Amino acid sequence: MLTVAKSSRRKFLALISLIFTPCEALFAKKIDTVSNGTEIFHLVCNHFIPASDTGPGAKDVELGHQLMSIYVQTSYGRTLFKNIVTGLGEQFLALSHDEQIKRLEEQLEGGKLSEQLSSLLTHCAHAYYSNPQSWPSIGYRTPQPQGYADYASHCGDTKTKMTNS
Amino acid sequence: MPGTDEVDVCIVGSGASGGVLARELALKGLKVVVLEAGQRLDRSRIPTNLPHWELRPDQYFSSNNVDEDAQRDRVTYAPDSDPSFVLSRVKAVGGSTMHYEGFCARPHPGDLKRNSLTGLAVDWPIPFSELTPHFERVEAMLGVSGKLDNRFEPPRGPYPNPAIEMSCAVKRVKKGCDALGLNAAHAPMAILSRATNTRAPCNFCGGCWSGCFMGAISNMAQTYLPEAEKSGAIIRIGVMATRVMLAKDGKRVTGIEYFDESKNLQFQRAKVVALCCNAVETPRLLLMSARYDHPNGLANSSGLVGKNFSCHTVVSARGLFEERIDAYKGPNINGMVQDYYDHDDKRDFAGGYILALRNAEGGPVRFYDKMAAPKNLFGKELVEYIEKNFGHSVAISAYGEHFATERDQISLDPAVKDTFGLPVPRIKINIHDNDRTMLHHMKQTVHDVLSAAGANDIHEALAPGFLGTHLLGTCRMGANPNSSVTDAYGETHDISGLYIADGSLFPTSTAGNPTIVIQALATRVALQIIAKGNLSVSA
Ligand SMILES: Cc1cc2nc3c(=O)[nH]c(=O)nc-3n(C[C@H](O)[C@H](O)[C@H](O)COP(=O)(O)OP(=O)(O)OC[C@H]3O[C@@H](n4cnc5c(N)ncnc54)[C@H](O)[C@@H]3O)c2cc1C
Ligand code: SF4
Repeated sequence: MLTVAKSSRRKFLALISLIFTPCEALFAKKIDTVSNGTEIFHLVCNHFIPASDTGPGAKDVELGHQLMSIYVQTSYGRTLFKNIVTGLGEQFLALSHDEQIKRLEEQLEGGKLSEQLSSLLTHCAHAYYSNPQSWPSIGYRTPQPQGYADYASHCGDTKTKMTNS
Repeated sequence: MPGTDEVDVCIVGSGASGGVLARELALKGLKVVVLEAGQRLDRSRIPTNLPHWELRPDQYFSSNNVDEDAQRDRVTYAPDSDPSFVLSRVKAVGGSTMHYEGFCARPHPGDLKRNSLTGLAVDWPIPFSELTPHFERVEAMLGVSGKLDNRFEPPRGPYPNPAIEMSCAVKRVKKGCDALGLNAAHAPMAILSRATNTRAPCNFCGGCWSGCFMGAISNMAQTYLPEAEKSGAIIRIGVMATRVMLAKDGKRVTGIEYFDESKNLQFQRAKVVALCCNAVETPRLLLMSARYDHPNGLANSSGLVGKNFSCHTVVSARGLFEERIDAYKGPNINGMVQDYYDHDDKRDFAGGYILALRNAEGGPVRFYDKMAAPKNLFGKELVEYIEKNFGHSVAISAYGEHFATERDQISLDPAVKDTFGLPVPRIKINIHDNDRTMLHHMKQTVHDVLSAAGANDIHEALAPGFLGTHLLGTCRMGANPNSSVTDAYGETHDISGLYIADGSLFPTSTAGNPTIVIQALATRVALQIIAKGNLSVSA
């Protein structure tokens, strides 16, 4: 009913919201056709969204696992997974933490995997920041059902991060 | 083709204009049928209470089959149409008001006098004063909230409801306006600031763009349509009008041909037909209704059906503040500036624009997309950036008048068909020299305001271009049948009993948000239909 350009990317992102719709069947299919692919994939997700002093990281919220359960459902997702893990290769696992980060940086800034890793980064960020577990550290909760009675008060209160009540 | 009982008025479309017409006519006891291509939207699909709400911004407005919707509602763009124009409208009971933000500042008298004031475009065929009582009636129905603190607003009575207080973010931006000597006023909104017997007020959730969970936005499904139905109007849902039918002499309307829900062709007889499909679909329907004695489409002796397609231009800037302002809380539009609204000979462009002070930052996903992603951040840097800055950003927008030409137009695509086998509308619209000069001024202003308010990291949030939501001008009204499609009351010059009541009527786009004007015009058209007689009006 809404007529706007619907890019396949937009539709794919909508799929990510399925993460919050428990569905056992999603986890039954297999995506890891490459040796150690799952491990590489998890590692990349964990590097993209690490834990902070106040918030959990990708690992804590099982982001890699959730994204894989989405990727397995579409050929776009399966191809993305395969290209990333084969592109980085098993040798990625042998690198030190800092070398891995450097490798990802290089790839994102115009490497052969730039486009695929950018997509994965977007998916990680969307899945992570739409997950309520990430919200306490930034002082956020869903708009409804409570609304924000404080929307016009406590303005500029940086200490308490005017938030939820 | 099976016929149906004749009704007094058959209205095509149940949006801003069709909803008003249906209520006003049904209240007078007329037999009214509304044909609506879309479905009733289900409020339980509004996602703003769910964790993933930001990933499904269109869920409420789409059916479960997005691909099918897209095929049915397909449009094409001419290769030389400005790529920034992307059509955005809703096909549903209530039309595009189901998605609108409710910004409803009244126009100014000068909006209707563009030719007299600037030498460009045309004047409207109606004196401003004639619209005032209709604005009052519409505002009362919608429960518009507002405050008389806009020094540029023409004299008017109080708003039906008190204004929605400015949010922290808008108060912060207002400081910038104050520093520049601009008058940041409360935005008049078709949003309830206090409860009625049947509806809850706004709870400042900021989710307007995804559908109003509280039902506080006064869309047609919340306001006019229930009253229309209570008064006897029948809304046929999921039916697609395909042709306006005429008497043998080709001079009088007899009804509407439409596909019913099962895609069978039906005919609704009517003494009067009112097209309220919006400024893209109404000319499409008229052009699709061509017949041997109207080879270029109905009501098109002027050749102007589909021409002068107009909307508004837009530019938007975003900045970051040191302190937290939480511009994701509060209604999406919450303040406005009209210092550049009225035409001023001293400026280097004709016409004017409005500044909207917004709380439309959305949640953390949107913050990531708008602020962190363009910086290519990931890892520790990304997480720290979002923890430090989420809730500190705000964007403001300027909406400008567009001076359309006859080259800006809706036509029928010669090759592409929709799921009914009907030619889809083909859109062509461009930014012209005056629009470009105005956009330059608009861009400077949004940057200046944020800068004066103390924002940093100010950048373009929306590049100068078109807003695809305000659809106007394709069957303009006027006194002269050679240069307009309808008379000043929306009745087509060529075909008796065939009215147009939607945004197509606008002779010029005006400098502000159009829907309150569409609704006032539709009220006026309803009065005219009643006044013209021959219908079963109750005393
Ligand atoms: C996201 C968004 C935000 C907006 N915000 C604002 C705002 O804050 N302020 C403002 O003033 N305006 C705003 N607008 C614009 C406003 O919604 C429109 O100006 C207004 O709804 C137009 O009214 P209309 O009657 O011309 O058409 P619509 O409201 O679009 O109604 C047309 C109806 O006709 C139906 N229809 C079309 N063709 C056929 C057919 N052949 N057969 C049967 N039915 C048909 C459609 O399904 C639709 O329901 C916004 C629009 C959008 C999309
Ligand atoms: S901010 Fe108010 S009007 Fe907007 S969606 Fe929330 S409750 Fe509705």
